Amino acid sequence: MIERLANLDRRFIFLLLVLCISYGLLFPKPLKISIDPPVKAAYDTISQLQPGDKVILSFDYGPSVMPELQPAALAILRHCFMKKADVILMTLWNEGLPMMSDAIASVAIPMGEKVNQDYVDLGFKWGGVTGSSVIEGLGSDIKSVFPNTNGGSPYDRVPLLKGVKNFKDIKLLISFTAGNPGVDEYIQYANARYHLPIVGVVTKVTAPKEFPFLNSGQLSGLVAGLVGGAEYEELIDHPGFGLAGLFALSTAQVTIILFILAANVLQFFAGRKKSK
Amino acid sequence: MRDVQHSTVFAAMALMGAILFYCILKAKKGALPYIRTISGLKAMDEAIGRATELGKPVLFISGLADIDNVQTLAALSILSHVAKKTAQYDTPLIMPNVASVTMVTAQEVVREAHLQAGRPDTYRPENIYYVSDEQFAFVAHTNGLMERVRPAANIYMGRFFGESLILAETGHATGAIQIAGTAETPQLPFFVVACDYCLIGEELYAASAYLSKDPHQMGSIKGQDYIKILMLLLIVVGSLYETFNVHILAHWLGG
Amino acid sequence: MRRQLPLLVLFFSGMTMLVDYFFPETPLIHGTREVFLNWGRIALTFAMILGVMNLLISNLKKVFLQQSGWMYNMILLLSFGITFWYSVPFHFVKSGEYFSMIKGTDAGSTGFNIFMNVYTPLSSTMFSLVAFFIASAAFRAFRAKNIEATLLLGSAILVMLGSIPLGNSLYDRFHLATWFGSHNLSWVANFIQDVPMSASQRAINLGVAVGIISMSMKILLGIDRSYFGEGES
Repeated sequence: MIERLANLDRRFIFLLLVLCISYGLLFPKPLKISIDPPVKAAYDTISQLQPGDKVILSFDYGPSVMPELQPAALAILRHCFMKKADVILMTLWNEGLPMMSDAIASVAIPMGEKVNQDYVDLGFKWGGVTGSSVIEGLGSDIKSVFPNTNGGSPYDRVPLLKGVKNFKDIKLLISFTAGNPGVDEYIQYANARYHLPIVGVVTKVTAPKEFPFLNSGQLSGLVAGLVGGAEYEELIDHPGFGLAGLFALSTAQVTIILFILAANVLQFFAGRKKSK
Repeated sequence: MRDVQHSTVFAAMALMGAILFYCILKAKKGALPYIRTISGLKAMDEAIGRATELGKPVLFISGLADIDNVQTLAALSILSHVAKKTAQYDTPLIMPNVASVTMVTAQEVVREAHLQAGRPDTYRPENIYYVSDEQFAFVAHTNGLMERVRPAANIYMGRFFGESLILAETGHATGAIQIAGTAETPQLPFFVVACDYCLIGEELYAASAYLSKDPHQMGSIKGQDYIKILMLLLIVVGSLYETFNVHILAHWLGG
Repeated sequence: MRRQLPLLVLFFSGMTMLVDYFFPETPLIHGTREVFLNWGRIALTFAMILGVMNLLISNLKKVFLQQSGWMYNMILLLSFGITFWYSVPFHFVKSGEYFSMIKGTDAGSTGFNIFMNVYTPLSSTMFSLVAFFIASAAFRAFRAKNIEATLLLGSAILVMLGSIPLGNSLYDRFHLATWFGSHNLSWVANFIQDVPMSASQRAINLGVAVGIISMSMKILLGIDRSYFGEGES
């Protein structure tokens, strides 16, 4: 019996996980949230923006990680608008376009921000796997990379982009990344070459890869996963999907930990029984 | 050079190139270096043998990056060896691809391997095909393939992202022997947990030398080790310098 | 020549990229680099057509020959056709003094709706499998068989609990702060990620970087040609 439990069919594990996550979603409870230093660093960096400062938001992720990154993306976009910064939206991923459209529809329009005046949507530009040609192009001349906005307006006719030539005119770059090209490429080309401050928003799995860049100062802040998004929503005092999904995420994590502990206990007793 | 950063990079590149060249020349003269056993690569022949005994195909996935990524090139080097073995044993080799250029290159690699093995008639180009550029569309197809065809050996070599655990777990559930190799550090834990063997980081790049036993390539592995020793010394010396507030090295390295 | 020509092209284009990194202000080299990059982009874009043709031909073949599972191939072809039909076309709309280009993927278009209502949920579903597979893999593999495995298990549990608010709540409830010098569990999790994990990541990354340099050099100089299908250098 103990051995059978120790080698339990994985479908029972899936079923238990589904039940626990469902409970977390159907009966959410408020949780006391503590803010991690990397998220606080990101918040502080964005808080230092002055009205009229140009900030680039690069939506380099697709729908598969939308539940993880979109809460942070919406919260950060909202924070940028709250600081009255001029927001330039772009993406190096073709799948990033709907993510940007969703962010504009969810945050910019309800907040009454005006296109081409408070924010501009430059759209998607393919720069290869590394995005280097696009990033280096932005470093020398943004207009050469995006001669028109996503809506078709010529670069020179956009009020927000007056006087914006290249990275030297940009105060901050925030990259929402699920892979490549993304924050690693921005660090390589934008931060290393042009010393542009960068805030990274990444999935929880890839966050450990970015810690060395955070420690060395190449990243000014790091927001990781749904939890990072929830912490950011807490910081700007605007609850959203991040905080809403936190209890379900917590129950799922605790369930997995209980599985691990149960497996070890069962293995221990199965081993003792065998030696007897 | 534009600034001190680039001159440092040039000097480092020149030094590394010189070390690699020296080791390659030394190996060419007959002094073959010793390379420790890499269990994942050693197990490849065993995995292919198992697939042959069971009469099942071998599944090879070269990652989710395009041909311009070094990991994909390393994977294709390994594919060459795997294709030669499967040609010798007349075992089907299936390779779904995420990029069309990689597909074309892989077809050429496998065709050459069949020619070198003296079995050009057993080459099946329809087994090396394009699926989709989209990550999860590719994963959905590959998972379905594993469930339907039930390959006896799954070999994952190259650049993988979030789909690594999905592939590896599905392969484990079908009972296949699995060998993985990637330089993507976030995905290594998933492969280590779900696969029988895993090549970690630079072992993937050393695979070509290990499998071919080519003196030039084996010499370059030795050169890599010397470079790493130099880096280690630099780290130790640099840490001591910084601890005692001497910033010469940091400034020279562009810090 | 069949073998030498690709190697020559590879060497010449690779060296151009390398030299441009050190001398970007040299117009000849920088211009050549831009030309090569553009050629590369164009070639990769046309290669996508090659891939799509391969996909369509192999699926059509299975449908016409009515091989096992041909209905699924038919579904693929239909899905491809419908998405292509609605996503690619675009038209111009005058708004004020400007003409706006409404693409098939713009918000509100059918192509956009297909993407958001079909592709997005499917993609999210596939990615969500990771959560279930993590649970089954953790149940199967995280066993304390020896000291190293036990250490790994302990640190994994600390990091997992420290990443969620529920973990901090449990930690405070059982007054475990005194074990770690009055720091909360998030601090412990961050410490594990900041110090030992970052150190090992850096070590692996250094090795990988050296491996990339070596492999790139071997490919550039034609020493390693196994990806061409040749084993000998």
